[in-house]
Amino acid sequence: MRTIRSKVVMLILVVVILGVMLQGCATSKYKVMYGIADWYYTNHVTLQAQYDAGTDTQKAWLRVNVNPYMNMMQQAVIAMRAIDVGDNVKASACASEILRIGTGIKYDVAKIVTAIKAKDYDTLFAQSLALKSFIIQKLSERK
Amino acid sequence: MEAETQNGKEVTMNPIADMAVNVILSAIFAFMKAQGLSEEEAKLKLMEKVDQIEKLPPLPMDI
Repeated sequence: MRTIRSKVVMLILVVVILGVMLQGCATSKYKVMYGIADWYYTNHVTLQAQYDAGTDTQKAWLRVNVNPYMNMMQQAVIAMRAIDVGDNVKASACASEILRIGTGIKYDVAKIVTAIKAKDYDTLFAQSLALKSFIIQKLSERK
Repeated sequence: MEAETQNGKEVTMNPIADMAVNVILSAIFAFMKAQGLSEEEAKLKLMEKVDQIEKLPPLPMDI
């Protein structure tokens, strides 16, 4: 799964499959959420065991191609519950961690949300510069 | 991956396909399990499960 297109295809497949699953219990919020959490937990434990039992090559492959996405999903599941109980601080921290794993940049999502609400464009501009640097770096790596 | 034999020939599962199948199957059974619960039971179990997930150490990654 080296190309961006194959990763996007895999992501779309996962979303479609989850969507089909959700259709069957669309009226039941907590059943859906529990299904997602239970699914994540099972896969995390399985992957940890696979990683521990793997060769160095398999471990290296998992560290690059699978584990970051699982860790982001872990934060997303924790954020899902935090949002449901109204814990915006925790949800922001989870969002920051997802961005850190995905981009390598440390964002303070709580600060960004505060800046958006306060129309603090200086803070938003500074945050967007970090993202711009990341995008430019990735584009130059592809050449 | 352990090698299996089929008609005397060694067959090894593609690890990516194996992982994808695990993901799909676990999703199916997780949602089937959730369907058997009442909403209140599901909420309680959700809280317990997320508490467990919070305690899981992150999977090793190269960052």
